[in-house]
Amino acid sequence: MANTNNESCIDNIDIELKIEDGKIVDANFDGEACAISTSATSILLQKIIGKTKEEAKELLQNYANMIEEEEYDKEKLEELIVYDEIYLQPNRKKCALLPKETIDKIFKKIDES
Amino acid sequence: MNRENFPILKENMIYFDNGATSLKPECVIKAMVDYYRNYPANIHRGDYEISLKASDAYEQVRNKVVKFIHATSHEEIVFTSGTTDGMNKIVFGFMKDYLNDGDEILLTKAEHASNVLPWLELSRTKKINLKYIPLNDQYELELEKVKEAITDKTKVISLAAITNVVGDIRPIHEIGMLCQEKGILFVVDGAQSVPHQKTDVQKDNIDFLVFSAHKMLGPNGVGVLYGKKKYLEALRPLEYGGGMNQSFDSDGQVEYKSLPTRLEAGTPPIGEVIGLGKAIDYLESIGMDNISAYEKDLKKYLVSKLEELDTIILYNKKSDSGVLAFNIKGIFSQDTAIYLDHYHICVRAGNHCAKALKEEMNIKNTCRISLYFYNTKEEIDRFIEVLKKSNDLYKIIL
Repeated sequence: MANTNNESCIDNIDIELKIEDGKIVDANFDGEACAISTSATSILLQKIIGKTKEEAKELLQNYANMIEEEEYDKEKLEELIVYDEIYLQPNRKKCALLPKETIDKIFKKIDES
Repeated sequence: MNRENFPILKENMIYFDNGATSLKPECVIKAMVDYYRNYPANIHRGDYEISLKASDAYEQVRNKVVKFIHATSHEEIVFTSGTTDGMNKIVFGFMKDYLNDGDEILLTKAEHASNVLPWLELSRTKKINLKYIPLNDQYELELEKVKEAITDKTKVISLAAITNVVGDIRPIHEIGMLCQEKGILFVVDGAQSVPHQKTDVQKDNIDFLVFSAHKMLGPNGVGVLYGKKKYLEALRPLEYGGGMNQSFDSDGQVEYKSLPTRLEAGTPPIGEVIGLGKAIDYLESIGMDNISAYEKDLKKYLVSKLEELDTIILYNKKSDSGVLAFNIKGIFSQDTAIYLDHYHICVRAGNHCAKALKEEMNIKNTCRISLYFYNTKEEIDRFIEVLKKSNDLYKIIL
């Protein structure tokens, strides 16, 4: 489990992942955050259920590349593509990246333990 | 009123975030440009014309502050970088020595971070007890509750005269009298009150007062620390260096200057202090009583209009200042603020630096409108129209 407070605004999200035999079998989140943060978290969590940690990391990186205007694989993102124009509002990039930042924290915790 | 003096208001913008910072009238900007362009010298040390002119202008502002807050002498006025700086000077330069183990400090949970965190930090190294005076169901502070909270260990009461989220105008005079009677030091955070209402440190028995220029039409980076002379005499400088020393040698023989210069180490933001002086002139030309009466009326109008909308939750409609916290039902406050920005309406979303208040309100985040005299009923009407069509909010912001 991990929490991220968006330092540049007021978003605050907790994410919990259930991992069994290297696979993410369940995921949920709680908190108070803007529409972009909450919707992105919701979709991302649905996407990573059933994936291994490495597969999830790859998806998250691909997603982050899209937000940061770098090269990314459109096909793999499926409905996450709705965030492909967030870069037009640069101050909202952090909102869209909040779930990735939080899930990364969980993976880091696991890697370190 | 006086909208013509604020060039930015000619744009199609409604500025409702005056609690964060105010707009600047042309005369303030001009006064600062005049300094930087025509006499940009350092103060207190040059024997040439423009330095003397700068020193004069700087010290004249001190005298303006004396009159503006009804202090008794220029020795009681210290220029700081703002309210936060002023509070830290009081807590770590004075209270650290003044307080003893077991002493009690009374605050409330509606205080701004700058009137909580210095105290919390001090309480880690000193065994002082911070006590929060209970607020009423409107999150306001009542005199009776202050009386009940005082014990024989209470040494300091530290309060905002107007809080920045609830916006209640505290009974400062009565609390000041109470402090005088009980021998308690009275520290007032004037960040939200000095720009909006008359301040009288003598009449209200205020021992320390802090406020910022930028919330009262002045520039960033300047504020004022007022303290009764006997207390400022005992306030240890937190910064040592240029400007504040009379003489020193390498053996450690040091003599510091007298008040208030002793507490103003380094070159101050001279042009900005001059800007503050012009802001004070400007506010006085309108009249502080006129400003507070106008804002009170405007706030009433705002509340009455918002109450007609059943989608809006109001958190502090009874408070008299121009501060109003609200949410659109079911919408995260930041989404509301982003929606309003689409219509060039500036409001603040969040916890407004009063993070302990959420424990009282049971709600973390709100949108906050904070009015000033240049806001109008027409702006409020436009704002209401935008709220009325907020059912398409997500279409606009996503």
